[in-house]
Amino acid sequence: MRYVHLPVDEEIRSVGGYYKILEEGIFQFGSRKVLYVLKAAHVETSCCGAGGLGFISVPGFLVSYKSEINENGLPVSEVKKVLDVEDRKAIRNILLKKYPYISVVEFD
Amino acid sequence: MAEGIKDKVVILGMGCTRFGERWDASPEDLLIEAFLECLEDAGIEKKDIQAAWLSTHIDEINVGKGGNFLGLTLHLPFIPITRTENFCASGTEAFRGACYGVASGAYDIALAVGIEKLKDTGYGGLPDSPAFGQMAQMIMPNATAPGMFAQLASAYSARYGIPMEKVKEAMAHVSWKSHQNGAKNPRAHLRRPVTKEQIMAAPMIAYPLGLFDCCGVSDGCACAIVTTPEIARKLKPNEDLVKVKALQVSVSSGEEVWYNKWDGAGMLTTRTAAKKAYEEAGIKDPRKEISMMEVHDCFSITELVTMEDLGISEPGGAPEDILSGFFDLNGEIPCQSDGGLKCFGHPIGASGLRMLYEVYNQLLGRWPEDRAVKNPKLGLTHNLGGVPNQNVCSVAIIGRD
Amino acid sequence: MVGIRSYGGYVPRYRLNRMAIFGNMGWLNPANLMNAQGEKAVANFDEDSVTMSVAAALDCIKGFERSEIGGVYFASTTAPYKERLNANIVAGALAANEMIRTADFSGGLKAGTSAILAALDAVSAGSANNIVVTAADCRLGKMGSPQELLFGDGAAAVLVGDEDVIAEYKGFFSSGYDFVDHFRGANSIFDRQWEDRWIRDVGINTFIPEAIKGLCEKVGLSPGDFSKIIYPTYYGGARKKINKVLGLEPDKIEDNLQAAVGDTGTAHPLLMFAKALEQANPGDKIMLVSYGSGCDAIYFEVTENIKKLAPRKGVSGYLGRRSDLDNYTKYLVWRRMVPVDTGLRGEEDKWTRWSLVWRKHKVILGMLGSKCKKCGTQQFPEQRVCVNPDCGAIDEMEPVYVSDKGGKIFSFTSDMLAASINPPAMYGGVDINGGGRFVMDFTDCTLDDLAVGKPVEFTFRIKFYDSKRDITNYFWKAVPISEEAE
Repeated sequence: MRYVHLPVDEEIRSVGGYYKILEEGIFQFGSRKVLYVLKAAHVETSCCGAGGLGFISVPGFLVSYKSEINENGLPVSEVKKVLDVEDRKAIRNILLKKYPYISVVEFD
Repeated sequence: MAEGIKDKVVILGMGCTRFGERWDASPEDLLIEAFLECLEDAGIEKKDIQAAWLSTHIDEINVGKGGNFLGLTLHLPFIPITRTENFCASGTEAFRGACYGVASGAYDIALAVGIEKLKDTGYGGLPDSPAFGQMAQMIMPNATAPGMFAQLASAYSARYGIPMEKVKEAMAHVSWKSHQNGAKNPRAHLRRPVTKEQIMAAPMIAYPLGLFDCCGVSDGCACAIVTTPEIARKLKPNEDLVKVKALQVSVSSGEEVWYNKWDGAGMLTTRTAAKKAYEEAGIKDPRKEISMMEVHDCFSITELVTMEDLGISEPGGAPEDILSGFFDLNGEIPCQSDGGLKCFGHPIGASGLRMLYEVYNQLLGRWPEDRAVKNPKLGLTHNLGGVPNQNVCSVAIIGRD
Repeated sequence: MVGIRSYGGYVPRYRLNRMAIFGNMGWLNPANLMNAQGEKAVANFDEDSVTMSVAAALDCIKGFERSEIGGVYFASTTAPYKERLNANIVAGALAANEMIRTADFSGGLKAGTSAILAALDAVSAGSANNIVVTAADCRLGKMGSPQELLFGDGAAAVLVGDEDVIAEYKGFFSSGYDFVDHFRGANSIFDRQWEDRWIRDVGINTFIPEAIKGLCEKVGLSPGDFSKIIYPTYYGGARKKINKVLGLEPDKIEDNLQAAVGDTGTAHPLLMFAKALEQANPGDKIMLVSYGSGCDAIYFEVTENIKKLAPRKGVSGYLGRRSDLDNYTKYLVWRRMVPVDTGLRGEEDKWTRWSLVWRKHKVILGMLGSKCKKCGTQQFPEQRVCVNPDCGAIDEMEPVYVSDKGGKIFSFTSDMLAASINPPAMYGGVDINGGGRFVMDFTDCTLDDLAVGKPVEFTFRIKFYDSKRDITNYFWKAVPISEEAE
């Protein structure tokens, strides 16, 4: 699967709020490398709610890192989704240990 | 046998404010801004208005209860004014009241106004209110609208066996399309296009709805003046007229929330209201006959399932249609040509009239080419208030003769 | 024959590693390292002594009809209400008949056994039968205190009656002393205590042996004749001393659950008793001893009926159903020990309309639904007009309680915006087994535990707390059942 790397620290606004990618990271998981993205969102005035959240998404295991550039000039990596439930649990635990204040770890 | 509303009422004029966080504008300012545009468009004077309907949703802030705000602000001379409140369908309800007033022969000319001033709470979002009554507060989850609508996505994915990835991709397209359209609209709340990657990468607010799948909260006002075809023809002898073809409302029966048959993958109210509206308007094949739509895209998933509930897409076929560009501005049936709730904005009580405003102006060919729908004849608007398992839905169809 | 007919236990799902507490507060009180081994059971943000009691009581009455319940006694030193009988909330959740004997027992940690004795007396006297006795506690120590490490949350329940008893009541010994080792004033939320050595040497080592010996003398047995002697205390040294004085072999002593749960106050002797009954055999003589403002010692003899008791989760089942609570501050916020910002929205008033609550109390507390006599459709909450669109019969309903039916997840979401002190809020549609659908909160789970079609059971929890008026409101939530637990 392709993963498009969005620029770090750029505010992306919707009508209800905005989010930013704070950092992108890679860590070793057995013989494989896991790519993850730490994001923060500020929901300012969505229909029926407001709040903020920290959020980690895990595109998957790296197959190739920033091996091409897409039509918008953004780097693209090849990743393999994390589908195994036990792998997901383990990866979530590693990330929550590293970022204890994050309440959601999402797998793409 | 009831005949329905078809061709009995003409929209004589409409007005709509810029939607957004109008920190500097009082509700009175918003009302006068929309009303002046509407009055000028209608080509009448204030004294010609014989009755009015006022739509607002929120009591806690905003303009209070009853019809007084409208009478007191415009100094309407002791005419009947009725407040309508029916969740997000409130605006269309005001319009329905005005149309029925005219169609019944009780009045020659009637006014429908929708207004919501929400940015005085001190916090984002809508004010907390026990919207479903005190008992619901005791036993229902402390749910938010995104949370309730998000469940449509999981049920939809399960019902049709469509992987969540594809549903998310279609939702991203819905949001992308509204941002594309909204960016071109000077009155829209948010005028900023975004890429699909940015939408897909947004944090999840309520699984699986991300930040861009949710609409916001805005201040705004929209209004319409309606009359009979005879009077309209006299007042506007050489202009195209926009006639009301159907007005339907459907309210949940409890079957969705308490009975076990509902599949959760769409709204029974929308399905009911749409079916009746097509009958009322004499539409046989909506996918062929409807030229454009403004639907209640409070969340991307709502727009997605609504395409099926309205009978435009086959059951399970909406993601395909959406991704093929069928509802894009240059597609077969453009949907949300003004940016929709997501980008034009969502002042609850005004939204139904805002949708009619967009369709009305498109039908009359008044918009610049870069955001004009090509030669539209029939337009549909759709509101959905409440939550998927207990809601109010309105469907209106208007057409150019 | 009067005695115990059934038992149930409850240990909340979340366990806080004591070293995590020490890691946060050890800087203040390094001596606490001594108490920082093992983990303590922590009530979830939506649990308290009432909800834990309900859970234990439901475990206890498994296999019995609710209509059989002839009384509900609730014991706790951490009841949510000083005025408004907590036992009635428990009874309401059990959907027991309302014309029964209900009472709260409190004031000291022996209140749990006092409630059992009161029930045994009432049954013996023929005044009541099948009394559910529940005990629960959720005591707080100040941040950095030893109590914070030592106390745990939990509940247990027994059904006291005179038919098919699994443990016959054979005798008691009671004492009441105004011996103040721990105390809380009427307006305090934190436990205070006197010096450990004094509690140990003068309190525990005096009153517990006195009660055990006292009961032995009354019934003409020696401590060694008992298969199990159950008494609470987390002082390891004191336990050794008591066992030595009484000549008790280690296998006769029930584990005090300190490493896995912590001291659950009034519930603790009952919790240990419920655990001991899981392994008990006919003929076993069990002595149940409480401690706190005096002692109660109660002698039971296990009967053949224990083999016929319907299977239940029991203390062991709940001990096995655990999740780490790895965040100390979450614990502080859940227990309302520190003020937190809930935003302007959180400051909006949320009223409790008592007249409405009374009219609908069976729906709110007992999950009362309806079953249509015309078409057979079960529905919740109770309806007068049948929800089946093909039926629609009016006033053709019979009452049906759905709290024990469980269901299947119809839809779900995880919501980051809903106001909660345990975000994200998770809720969704649940198809109730036997018919009916309702949107419910999910609790004791993570998003990974939720899936469409997954079975759930219902659990009685705090719905919302009005801090302005100190009102705790309750309703039922859904807990996903994992396959391995089934």
